[in-house]
Amino acid sequence: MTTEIALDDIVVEYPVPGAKGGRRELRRALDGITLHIEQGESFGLVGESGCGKSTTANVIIGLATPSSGSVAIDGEIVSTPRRPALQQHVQMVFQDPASSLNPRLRVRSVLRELIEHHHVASGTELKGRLNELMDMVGLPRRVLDALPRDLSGGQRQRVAIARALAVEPRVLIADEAVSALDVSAQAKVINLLADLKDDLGLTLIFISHDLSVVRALCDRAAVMHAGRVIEVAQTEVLFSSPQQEYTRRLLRAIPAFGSSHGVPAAPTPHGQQLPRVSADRERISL
Amino acid sequence: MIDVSTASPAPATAAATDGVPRSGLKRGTGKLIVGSTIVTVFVLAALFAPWITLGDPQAQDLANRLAAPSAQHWLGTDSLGRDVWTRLVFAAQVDLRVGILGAVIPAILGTLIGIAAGFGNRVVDSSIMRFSDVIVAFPLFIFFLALVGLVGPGEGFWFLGPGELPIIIGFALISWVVYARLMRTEVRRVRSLDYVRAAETGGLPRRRVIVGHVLPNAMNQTFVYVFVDIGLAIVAVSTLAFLGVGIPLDTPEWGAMISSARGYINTNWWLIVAPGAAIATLAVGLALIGDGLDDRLKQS
Amino acid sequence: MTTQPLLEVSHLTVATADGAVPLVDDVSFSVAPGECLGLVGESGSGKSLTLRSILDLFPTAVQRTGGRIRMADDSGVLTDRDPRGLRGNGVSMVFQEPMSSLNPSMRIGDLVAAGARARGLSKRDAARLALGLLTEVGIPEPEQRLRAWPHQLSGGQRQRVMIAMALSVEPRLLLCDEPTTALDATIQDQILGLLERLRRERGLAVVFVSHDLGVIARIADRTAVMYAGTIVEEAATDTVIAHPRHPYTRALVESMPATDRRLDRLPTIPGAPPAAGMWPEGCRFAPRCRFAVEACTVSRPPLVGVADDHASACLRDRELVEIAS
Repeated sequence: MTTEIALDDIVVEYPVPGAKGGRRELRRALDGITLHIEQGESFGLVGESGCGKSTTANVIIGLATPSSGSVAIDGEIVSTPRRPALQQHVQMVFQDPASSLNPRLRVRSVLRELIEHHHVASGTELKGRLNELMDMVGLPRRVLDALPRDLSGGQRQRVAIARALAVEPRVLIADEAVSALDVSAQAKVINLLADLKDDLGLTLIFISHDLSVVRALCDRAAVMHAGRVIEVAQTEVLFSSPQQEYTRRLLRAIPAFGSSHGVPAAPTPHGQQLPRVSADRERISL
Repeated sequence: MIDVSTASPAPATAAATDGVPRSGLKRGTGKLIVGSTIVTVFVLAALFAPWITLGDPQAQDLANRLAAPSAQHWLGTDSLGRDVWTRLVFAAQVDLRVGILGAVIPAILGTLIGIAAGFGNRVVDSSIMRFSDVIVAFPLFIFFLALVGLVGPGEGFWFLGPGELPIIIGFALISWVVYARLMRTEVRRVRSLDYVRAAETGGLPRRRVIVGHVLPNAMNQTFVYVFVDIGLAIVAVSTLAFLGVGIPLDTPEWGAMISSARGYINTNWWLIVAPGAAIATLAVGLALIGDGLDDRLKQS
Repeated sequence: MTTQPLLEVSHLTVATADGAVPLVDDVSFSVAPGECLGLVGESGSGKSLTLRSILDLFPTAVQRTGGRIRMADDSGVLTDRDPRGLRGNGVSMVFQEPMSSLNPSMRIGDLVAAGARARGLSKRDAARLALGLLTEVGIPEPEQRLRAWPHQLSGGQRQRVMIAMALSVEPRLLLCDEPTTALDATIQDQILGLLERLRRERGLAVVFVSHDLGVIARIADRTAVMYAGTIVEEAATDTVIAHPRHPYTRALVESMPATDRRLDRLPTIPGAPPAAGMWPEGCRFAPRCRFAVEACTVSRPPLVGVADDHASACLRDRELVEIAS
């Protein structure tokens, strides 16, 4: 395994107005974090609001500049602004389905703008690429002509994933990408991300406050608290034998649902005499 | 929602385009229809003024002063025997011209300044904002009017009548502040939205992000406000003319007409009511368009 | 129910103001004194509107179009009530968004005392009550906090203040509309703990709306699952989660990511919930149900008892149980 993303001793500070209207002072959003994410793994970043997990994502993608420390992508130390190939290398899916898409642009225009800018495809290839992207994220091709307001939250998040994939990245960051979705839409988007990671060999960085979602999706995870990484481990290990008191507290706070309930043995859907009204449209629906 | 199942059991679902189906028209449609009908009537009247009136708003008939409305003079005549209907319609030219320029010029100016502040760094932004504070704090408009009062309305300029240019300049100097603040706030809001961040991280050039993703979504409130502002400018112009500032009193202009008819309110009340109603109706029409646009924008 | 209910809602219907789009369709439930009823469902299921109809707290352009709301009077007899009359009078509500629900221009102490002042308490008594309530809901250093402004508090503390305000009118029933959804996991844990303690100490009945089965599992004694404006299943919470009968509940339970094991794929429900106004004929879940047969699309199955204190609205309930065994 090679290291895809290497963050070393990253500090991010931003000025805030001082107390009682005093001089601006610096507040540390990230307080010296070191994280090495391997190629092709799915890595979870968990913590509560204000712990710095979104800032970490912004550092990786280049929206925030560290005041010290180094960021390496694919072995290359990056600087801001990044050269286009590196910018293309890492893409992000944002949290809020309501604001993740430009309300005035049709899905087709959003995707085409990015594809053409990065010379990923043009002319007749372009049409094929657009269709391919829709297929990848499990949306019917006519969604290409939709405006964001015509789409449900889950569909918008799929479009946002297609947009991230349009420039053929190697790393996909999902920043609370399923938090705003209903349970049933959430499960489908999680499955989609897992499939894309396998099919395209992506490195997936999954940021969430929801530990159960990270548990379902990630190989390894880091727990963040107050701008620091306090524990990194295989997800199984992190959940079964957390080393830090804070991690244990976080785990205890999850409403005990998964551990106590036994999912009942569902009657087999491929049952003998059960005529099924609907064909299996799992892959292309949500 | 767009229906995404291949085998849709209920065809009704496929036809739906939205979460909650709406009964009837989009919100704001009524206001937009009424507002734009009113404004269109005024604009058409102004454009075709020579054909729907007696022709010359200054033609005097001293033998026939202060006549009551008749088949010849629909709204009677004023104290100099001039046809009031003709003056009323020609006044629409003056008021619409000054009102539109007095709102649109500051809107363009302020929007550009607001964009600079919204995208600029901290120094650019705070310089612009402090300068706009100074403009608001300093009684610039009164100062300007005093100056106009001293030097007089002057000649007309290009297609503008006497006194119109100073008034428009006066509006431009003051009202840009509102547009600049509005635009700055909107630019900052839209810039922080996820789709703009996605365009940035997608590697699109800065100019494309600004022109393609930020500005189109930051302009909405400006469009809403400019309609309301045209109405406000018209009310302001006629108020000034009423007070004898800016546009000369003998110009066919609603405020000036009211001012010169002041002495005849007991006998010839329509001399005041007609221009007053014109101002009010047009301002309401413009406000309705602004309001309707706002409803429409909030909905989507 | 063996005990006399505290609140009984029967045949509730809610629709858009023009009556064109039904949003809640024939929902009935009751809450016993001291009991916590969970209402769980996805967005658009009508769970929040059902809760709000108890106090007639609707967004504009939505109204109750039918149904009865009865509340036990002092002697325990159920009587018809005007929902508006119940506000602050036996029933109070805690909302999801603590920041927008607290008047930003009032100090914490005044916010909490306002309800008591409205009931005619003197300023001094109301202030003493406010202090007591802030202490009860676990605000640290309550004396100092009396003079704080809402924006100076954290999200969790604001939610505690909201609960204190709700308690100031000494309600018998507390309505909670996703009160912990905007909070972090550890804070959510604390607020749920607080609600549990208040129920125990005050004998408070609660109706708790959430989209999160995990939260419902922790707080609710009994749970009603809502789908497309109707209740599809209702039973003791443990039963709903461990032995769901309705295919929708079953699918919902399965699609929750579990915390005790890694799954390669989460089970999912095909399709999306139908939007209001586009509810299909027959069982509204039928188009997405893997067990649906032709008959399911003909008429809507009623919510019927399938076991002791367990109701489900599925036409094929018996068959499915047989197949499973």
